[in-house]
Order: sequence, then C-alpha cells, then structure tokens
Amino acid sequence: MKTSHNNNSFVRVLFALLALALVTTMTAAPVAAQSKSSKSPAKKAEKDETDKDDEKSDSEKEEKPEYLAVQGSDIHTVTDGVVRQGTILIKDGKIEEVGNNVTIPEGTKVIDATGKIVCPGFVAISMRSVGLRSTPSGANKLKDSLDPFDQNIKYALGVGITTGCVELSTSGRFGRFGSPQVENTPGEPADLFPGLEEPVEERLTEQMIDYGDLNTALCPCCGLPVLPTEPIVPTRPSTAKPRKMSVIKLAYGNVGDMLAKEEVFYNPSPGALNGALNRHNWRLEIKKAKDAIQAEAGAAKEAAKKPTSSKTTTSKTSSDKSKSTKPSTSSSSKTKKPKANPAIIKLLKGETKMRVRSDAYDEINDLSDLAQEHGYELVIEGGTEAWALSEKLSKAGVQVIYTPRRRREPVDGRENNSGSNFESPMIFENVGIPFATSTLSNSISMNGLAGRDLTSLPLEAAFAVRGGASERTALESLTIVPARLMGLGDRIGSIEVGKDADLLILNGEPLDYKTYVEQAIVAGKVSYERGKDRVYPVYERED
Amino acid sequence: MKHRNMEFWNRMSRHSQLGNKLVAMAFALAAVVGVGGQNIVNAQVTAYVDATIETADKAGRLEEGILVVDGDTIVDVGKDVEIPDDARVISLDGKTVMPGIIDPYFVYSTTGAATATRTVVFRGRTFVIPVRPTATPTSFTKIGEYFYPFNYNFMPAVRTGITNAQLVSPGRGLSAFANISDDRTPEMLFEKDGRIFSAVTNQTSSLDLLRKPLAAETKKTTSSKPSTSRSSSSTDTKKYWEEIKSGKKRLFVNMNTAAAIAYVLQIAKEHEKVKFVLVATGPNLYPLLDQIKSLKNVEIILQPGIDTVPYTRDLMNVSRLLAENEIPFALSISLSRSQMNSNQDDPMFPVANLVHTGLDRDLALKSLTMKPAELLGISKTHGSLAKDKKANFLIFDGDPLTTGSRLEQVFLNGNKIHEN
Repeated sequence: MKTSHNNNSFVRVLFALLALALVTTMTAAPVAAQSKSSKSPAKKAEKDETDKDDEKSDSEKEEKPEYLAVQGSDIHTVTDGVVRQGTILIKDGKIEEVGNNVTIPEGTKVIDATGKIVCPGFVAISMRSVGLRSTPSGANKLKDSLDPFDQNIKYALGVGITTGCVELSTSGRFGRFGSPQVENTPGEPADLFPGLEEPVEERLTEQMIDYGDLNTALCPCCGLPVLPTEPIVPTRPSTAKPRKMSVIKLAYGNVGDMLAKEEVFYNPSPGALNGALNRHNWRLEIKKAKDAIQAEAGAAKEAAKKPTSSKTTTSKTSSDKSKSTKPSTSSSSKTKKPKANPAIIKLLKGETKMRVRSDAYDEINDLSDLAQEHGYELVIEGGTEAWALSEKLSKAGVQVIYTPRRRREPVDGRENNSGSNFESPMIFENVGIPFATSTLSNSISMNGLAGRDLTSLPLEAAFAVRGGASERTALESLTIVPARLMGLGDRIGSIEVGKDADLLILNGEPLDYKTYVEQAIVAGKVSYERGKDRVYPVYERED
Repeated sequence: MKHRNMEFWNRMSRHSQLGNKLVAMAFALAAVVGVGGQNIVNAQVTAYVDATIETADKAGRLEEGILVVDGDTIVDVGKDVEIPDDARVISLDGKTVMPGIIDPYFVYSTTGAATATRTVVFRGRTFVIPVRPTATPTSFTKIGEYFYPFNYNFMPAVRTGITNAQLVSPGRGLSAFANISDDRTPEMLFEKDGRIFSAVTNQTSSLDLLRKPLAAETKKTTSSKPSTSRSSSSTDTKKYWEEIKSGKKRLFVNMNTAAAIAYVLQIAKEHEKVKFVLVATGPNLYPLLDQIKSLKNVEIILQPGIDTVPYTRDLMNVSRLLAENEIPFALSISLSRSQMNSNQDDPMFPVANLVHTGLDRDLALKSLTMKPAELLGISKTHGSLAKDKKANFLIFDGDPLTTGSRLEQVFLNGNKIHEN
C-alpha cells in the first residue's frame, strides 16, 4: 500500500536479480541455497545475488566430509616401497588405506593425481621463524603463540616441508645463525670481528689449528673459542642448560593441528659437555638423575616385590653404581633429596635423545663415549667429521643431522680423519648410521643468496645423492629419519595406515630440482596449492 | 631572549584570560537569547516532511515520508502520518533522512587523566605537554568511571554523523554508551555499565584473560577470581561475566592478527552459549571466513573499506564477503581514526563505496545503525527511525549510500547538534 513507485521498481530489480542468480546457482549449489533461507529477506537476496562468484567458499565446503582420497599416483611410502598408480584414503586426517584396490566411500573428496608422485611430507629437523612470529617467553606457551597464517608456512609447504622442529630459546651461539636481524646488533662479535657473520665453525677451526686444536670449547654465550686454561678456582657444578625444542606442523590456517610435540630433544649448548670440568659436572647431573630413577624404582619395588630393572635399561656400570649408592641415597633422599633434572631423567629413560651440535672429530668422539658410558641416545648435529668415526658411531647407535653441502678444511697432517667429506652420506649409509638432512640456514630468507635457506631442503638431500647415498636413503633423511629422531616415528614420516595424512603431491621425482609441489596435505587438509598460493611459478613444463 | 619569551607568555596568558571571559559572556548571552542550539529542549512538536526516509526498520524506505518528533523521541514515522496542529513543520524536500550512526566500538583513550602534565626540555626549550598514562594491558578499565568528555575525537565523530557510540579503551574493561555531541558534559553517557571488551593477542597471558573467566564455575561466592582487582569491583566484574556466560550480553573482543582471531574462535567454539563480537580488520578476517561461518555465536565488527587480499595486490570487499557467508556484522567508522578525522561532509563515502562494489544496500545501512544497536542491546531505543525511539537522525542532500551525497544536519535526541 504504502510503497511508492520507486520502491516498487527497486523490489522488481531485486526479484529479477534473484531469479537470475537462482538460475546460475542452481547447478552449482542448490542445497546450499536452500539451506540458507533464514534471517532477513534482504540478506537472502544479497546471498543469492552474490553466490555465483563464491567459488572459494564452495571449494572449501567440499573439504568438510571427513574422507579424502588421492588417486592414481605413484606412492613413495618410504617404509614400504613404491605403490604404482595407487590410491590413498584419508579419514579424519589419518591415513585409512593405501594400495591399488581401495574402495572409496560415498561423498569422498577425490584428488586426481594421475601421473603425479606422492610422498610423505618432509620434516625439517631445524626450523626457525616459521609458524610463529616470536618465540614465547615467560608464562606464554608455544601452544598459544602459533601463527597459522604466517606466510613463511606457504614458502615451507611450497618445497614440501610439512613438519618442523623449532628451537624456542634464542640464547647461545646457535641462535644467531640464519637470523640476519640479530647478526649485526652492536657489540656482537660480528661487529668486533668483520667476517664473523659467515658460519662461525670455519673460522673457529682455523683458530683451533693455531692453538693446536686442544679440544677447544666454544663459549656458550658468545660463540668464540674458549682457550683451555687451568681453572684457578674450580667453578661450582652447574647444569648444562638445554635449549627447548618443539615440533610444529605447518597446518596452514588450523591452529588446532599445529602443535605436534611440546618438547623434543635434550639439547645442551655445544660447549656444555666439553672439557674436563664440564664433563665432571655432567656426570654429577647424570648421577643425580640416576639416583632419582633408582629412588623411583625403589619406591615401586616396595609396592610390588620383584618387578625391577624395567625402567633402567642402562649399562652394567650404572646398575653396579646404583647398587653401591642405593642404600645411602634412598635413606637420605627423604631428608635432603638432591634435585635431579627431569629432562635428564627423561634422557636416561630413553624418552628423548640428546641433540648436540658438533663437527670436530675429537668432540664427536668424546660425546659418543659419554653417551655410551651413561647409556643415552645421541644425535650429532653437524657431524662434518663424523664420517671418520663412522664405524664407531654406528656401533654406538649415534645418529647424525647432516648438511651435505657444509664444508670444512682438513687439519694439516690429519687429512685421514678431519675435514668434510663429500662421500659422508654414502659412508653413513654403508655403515648404517641413520642421518637426517638439514639446511645451511634454518629460517626462510628473502634476501641474500638463494639456495641456502630452509626452502632448499630437498635440494640439500639431492646433494646427499650426489655424495653417493641412494635416493631412498636421501628421501628417508627428509622423512622417516627425522621423524624417528623426534620420537614421532609412529605419527609422521611415511605413508602408512594409521599415520597422520601429511602428503605431498609432486609433479616429478621428490629430489629433482625441477619438481614442484602441486599440493601439500597436512593433517588431511589441503594446506598448499601451487596454482592458488603463487609462492612458486605456475606453468607447465614442456619436456 | 629568555626574558622576552617570559614576557610574551605572560601577556598571552593575560589575553587568554580576557578571551575566556569574553567567551563565557557570549555563552551566557546565547543561553538567554536562545541561540545555543543544542542546549534547548524542543518544547514544540516538530514534523519533518517531504523527505525520503531510510527508516532502517520494517517500514523500509519511505518516499516523501513524514517524521514527527516530540522532544527527544520520535512520535511517528510514515507516509500517512497525522501531523499535530501545533507542530512546527519543516520541509526537507529532496533530502534523505537516515538514523544516526551508532559506532559499536569507539576506541577512546582510557582516562580522564589527560590533565596530567609532564615537563620536557627539548633543544633548550621547556614544554609542558599533557600526558596520558598508559594503562597496563591487563588492567581492567571502567570507561563509565573515567569518562573524559573533552576527548578531541568526539569532534570528528559529530561531523561524521555518529550519534551514539560504545566507548572502549585500547586494552580491556567495561565500556559505556554515549550520546556523541559537543556537550562536553558527563551527561553524554546514557549507559555507564556497558559491555565487557578486551583486546586479545595470541599469547597465553592475553588469551587467559578470556579463558579463565569463561571457564570459571558459576558460583555465588567470591572465590574463583584471585586477580589483583579489589574485592568490590571483582564481584562486579564477575556479575558482568555471568551475564556474558548466560548469553544475556555480548562479549566484545578486539584482535590485531589473524592468528589471534583463530585462537579466539577456538574459545568461541568451546563456549557455544557465549555471544562473541569480534573486532578485526578485513585482511585478518579474510582467511577465517569459513571458520567464522561455522560458528553461530560469532558476530563481527569491522571498518568500512576496500582491503587487499593478504600477500597479493588483489582488492576485496570483506563486508560483502561476510554478507555472502551470512556472517552478521556491523561497521565501525571510528576504527580507522584517520578515515574518521578526514571526513568532512561525506562520511558515508567508504560505505557507499562498499555498496558500489557489491554490498547489499539495505544491509549496509543496517550495519551502521540497527546492527550495532542490536550488538549493544539498545535496539529498543536506538538504531532506526521508528515510533518511540530516540530522535537521532541525519539529513543528507541525497541518497546517503551513493558516493557524493553530503551530510547536512545531525540531530541528537531531537536537537540539531551539527550543520554543514
């Protein structure tokens, strides 16, 4: 009644648009259009009018079913060979079925990957500034500090990295690497010694040579060599303060899926176990921890008589020691309990591994001896001269985080067991040392020379192949080996039933420099698409 | 040199005293004669006729409508409305009337302590500058208790056509609802106990400020909140949180990163009963549209404007995307302080631009008026031109939702408070 001419025409236009939109959307999403007929009529008109260019939300609506299938690709399972033209069925983010005869349930979103290669997502054993803006400090937890929309996640996914191990504390020498903004802070050694911004190890070895390589330790604070001097007053025993490391998954846009493991590795600073005094302190710490384990076992023994030695799977010497120390400690533990480091207890129980940065032959040798003496698992990060100790390390069960392109000059007169060796990956493979590949710098850098940062991870593994390792080993060094190092071997690192669906759909062989990641699936969700995200060039190769 | 300066300042201050007196006299005169404008309550009923009226209500758009105002209240709106015999009739031929804009998140600096000063020596000269004490992020500010009517941000708000606003601080606290005018009196506040608002980042300490009170048991006793706040105010705060938990009142959360929004959405998922109003920018909302859509207890406040898709150079209209995803939203012009300050007489330009690029016209109008009123819980008295509502309205020289229309007059509670 009260509507005027203008108003009528407005309504007519609205209806015309509505009808037009309905026709266009009928084929696309009729169900969606019906289900949304709520709220105000104006809103509905708005909805129908604009539905036609609503492609993005439509494609994401289809992800909602819990099933996802990747069809027709050659599947590099890593742990169980290659499945030709197979299908992977994913249910709720976990791998449900892998093989050639997989029945796909109704309503499954199917990704056609015919002619493509599928392999597990790569694991970066060292990663910085991806998925979190700043390292949480104080009461702030990593759980609450993640950034699922960090653009670095896209860069990492673009080369196939779906999981990474991040270091949370920034102190120490290692923290300076790969972070250009820290390098030139005034007063840093880089200022005082021009040229130090290059990887410090190379420089240090030269200085060590000057001093006859007297097992020189690196200062845990500034990273400069600490010359061996005789302590005038013995310092008080102190704990080698480890740095906290966590594992995050690069589930773009899904905070809930990101944190994979809060604490991995016992990661002391490189110099913490070097030299007689430090080693003495370390032994004291170990002893305290062993006593605590014994006390715990003793308490358990009191409850039930027999079951013992299940937790202390250490060597004979430790059990001998414990026998001798037990009566004294168990009685005194109630009165003046020596505080044991819970991280070291975990280490001795085999729940975590020790991860130390070490490149020099002698240092690796000592660390290996120490690990065997106390019976914990050791991972050498760096390991430039580990090839010269390969037999020994293999027997000791030591594993390595290796960067095939890292070089180091041999010491004059010790060429047989010093310096880097291009064949290291082959040697490791032959003696059975599992190694994980890491990059020269562990952050994503958008300046300087390309090919050294985190985005060169598959390339780095290709250099392991160049050094004589098989492609299989090289692929393992990006997937299952780092996963096992972090204690996540049952969740990630290979394509197996029951594992997390972290997959890459590649347009070529995994380690080929020509290969692009077409899609990266993290926890069963497509987190990266080459065509959409435009982090890497989008074109078809003609060859 | 110094001496001469001193003399100068003395003289100036004497002048300014004189000036003050003059101004005071002028005001007194004005009050007597009756030119003071805003201070006069209309004793008479006024009828605005011949205008196009955007009611933002059921009546919709009325061509040649009539708006009858008595005092601060709308008596009637419509096409066939009886105009009382004694009414003053004002013709607004060719003009468009719309409800006053309600700003649902007017960030207003925290304290009245702007009067605090600090003496600074810079290049040999001494300056006395006003200092705003920075509130610690965890402190809970009650805007109603620290209202400072001389805030300079009210000036551009008046000429933008914002007649009502929820005043908040950059941190967290309890908001207050205000009539925006040049009155500069504490009476500007019409609701001292507003809603709880909080700025949140993706840090444990910040997120816990939401999680803990929401997770706290609904007890009558005062035990569960061992925070630093005083006992009386903490029971007060608890009362407000109870209202939020039961879904009676909305919780306003301001976030500056997409990551922070993602965390708050997780909290929103856990507490289905709690009504969340998220204050965020378009680019931060953009990647989360699907997650927001799946939650029924989340509404959005954003600033009107065209944004760029993150990490690209593509332009987008996030308000339109929200509308397409059926996510309820309100617009807050004051969120972009620079935009508001630069508004002279075309404050609707950014909104008109959104309409021009595909946002539904009706929705755009309501997202400035009725929707914010709903979010604040004042839709019975504010937000549209309807019977018995407050007479807050704007007069434009054309359709307010096309670019180029000019705001001519602003009415607050029946009084003209601004004219271009």
